Amino acid sequence: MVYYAQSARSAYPGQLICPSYELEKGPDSQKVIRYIAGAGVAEQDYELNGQNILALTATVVGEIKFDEKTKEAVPSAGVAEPKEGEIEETVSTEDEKHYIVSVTDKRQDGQAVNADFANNLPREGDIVLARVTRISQQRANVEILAVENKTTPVDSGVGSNGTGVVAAGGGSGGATFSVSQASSDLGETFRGLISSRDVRATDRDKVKIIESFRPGDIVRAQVISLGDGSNYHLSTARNDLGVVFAKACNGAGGMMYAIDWQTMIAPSTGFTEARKCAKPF
Amino acid sequence: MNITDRRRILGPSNAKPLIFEKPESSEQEVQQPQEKSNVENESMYIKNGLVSNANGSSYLELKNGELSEQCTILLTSVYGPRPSRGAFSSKASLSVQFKEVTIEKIPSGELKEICNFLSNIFSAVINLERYPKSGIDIFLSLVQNPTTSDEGNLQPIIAACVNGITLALADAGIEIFDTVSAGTYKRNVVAFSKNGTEVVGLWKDKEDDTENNILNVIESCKESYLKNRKVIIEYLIRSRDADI
Repeated sequence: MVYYAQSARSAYPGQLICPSYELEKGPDSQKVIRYIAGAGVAEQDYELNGQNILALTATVVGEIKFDEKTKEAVPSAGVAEPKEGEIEETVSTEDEKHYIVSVTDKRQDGQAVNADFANNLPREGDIVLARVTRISQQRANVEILAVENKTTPVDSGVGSNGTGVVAAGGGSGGATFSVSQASSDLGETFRGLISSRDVRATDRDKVKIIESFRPGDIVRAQVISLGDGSNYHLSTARNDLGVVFAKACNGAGGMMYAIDWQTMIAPSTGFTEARKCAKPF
Repeated sequence: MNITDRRRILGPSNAKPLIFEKPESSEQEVQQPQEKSNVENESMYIKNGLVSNANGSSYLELKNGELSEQCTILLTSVYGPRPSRGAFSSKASLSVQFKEVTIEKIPSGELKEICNFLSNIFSAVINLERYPKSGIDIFLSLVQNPTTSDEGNLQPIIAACVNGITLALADAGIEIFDTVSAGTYKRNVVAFSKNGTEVVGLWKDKEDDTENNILNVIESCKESYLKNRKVIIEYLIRSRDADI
């Protein structure tokens, strides 16, 4: 019985989906199939017909999806001869297949914005959109508004000071967001802080927060740690991170546009203001 | 009640409630839930998502056998995960609050016991590791309680609470390891998970000496658990398919 080939079906919390391992028998070979718990799935000990097995079960209501995990081609400096490496990889994937099992709500599938913030809480390495609430000389306090769903590698394969072009969202363009539904008036949003050392990658000790952020700005930042009880620690020390939306004159003026990484201009008045801007493309 | 409620925006103090004309189709609306309940189960009517400002909610109506006129009505709402202030915790913290909305028949000590019992069950059932630095709050409102105060009979209410919380958590999309449900037998409640192979909670009403064989109790509760669980799962799957 091959589980990954089964047609899509609905799942409820606690429903057994498949065992952790499975042996697929072909006419003259056999493969080990490893199922990995993804979103909405948990690996649990389960007693079935008097036998203890390690199985994957659904944890939310939704539809079961099997995604084959392909070995990521990580461009490492050590691989000088790609031909040999390729052969090795294909040999290893024949022995063992990996599938990520997830249970997702079909209603929110494939939409750019979804309301399922609860199951996409900010984690280390995630890119978030945040609003600056207050600033001081040492830090900017923000509230997290949305989490970008497709996480990119920490530096997208480029140096953190940007020797290459990093597209917002990691190159493919289409980033999707989980938007927090909490009201900021009630103080129910997740809060974060950007320390002055984490604003940019160069001249870290000369950063002035007032020349980087203003209250009300929308900032694209990366979670560097879960922080303490009340704040996530965020960083904008990357070319594609920083202020994405800002209004002139502390919010009294119109929308401003970035003209370089540290200047924004209000087109109606021509005034410029200092910000640490995110590279838009 | 001098504790200010920070979760809601309160209206001005001189606000007056809106009064609407009585709709003409009121008879039909009353009829509707009864029709549905006949299809699902003779004793349970479920409706999820009635509380719009909660992350998830469930509404349960339970008919208690012969007392067909009086039924237990329970409204459960789940808020969260929302940020918890204070010390860092890598897991979510869970809080359960139980309240009788109309007539308060249950003494406050017992209410506390119910809350502890329920939060113990659901701490084991919710995937708390998935929600660091957050709190999940569950509020139970007992809208109608058919039992009289001198009976001290909490068993049908507790079973309703377990089923109601499971439904509300599923509605909120919070990860739970299993569709936990409770079964009752005489004055005992046993909550099971994993298709009845694991007991996650056991409640015995006070002054109960009707049944002392624990294995017998568990087996009898399992029967009613399996029935309840089936109704819950059927509802969850069907309401999802209807939404798409």
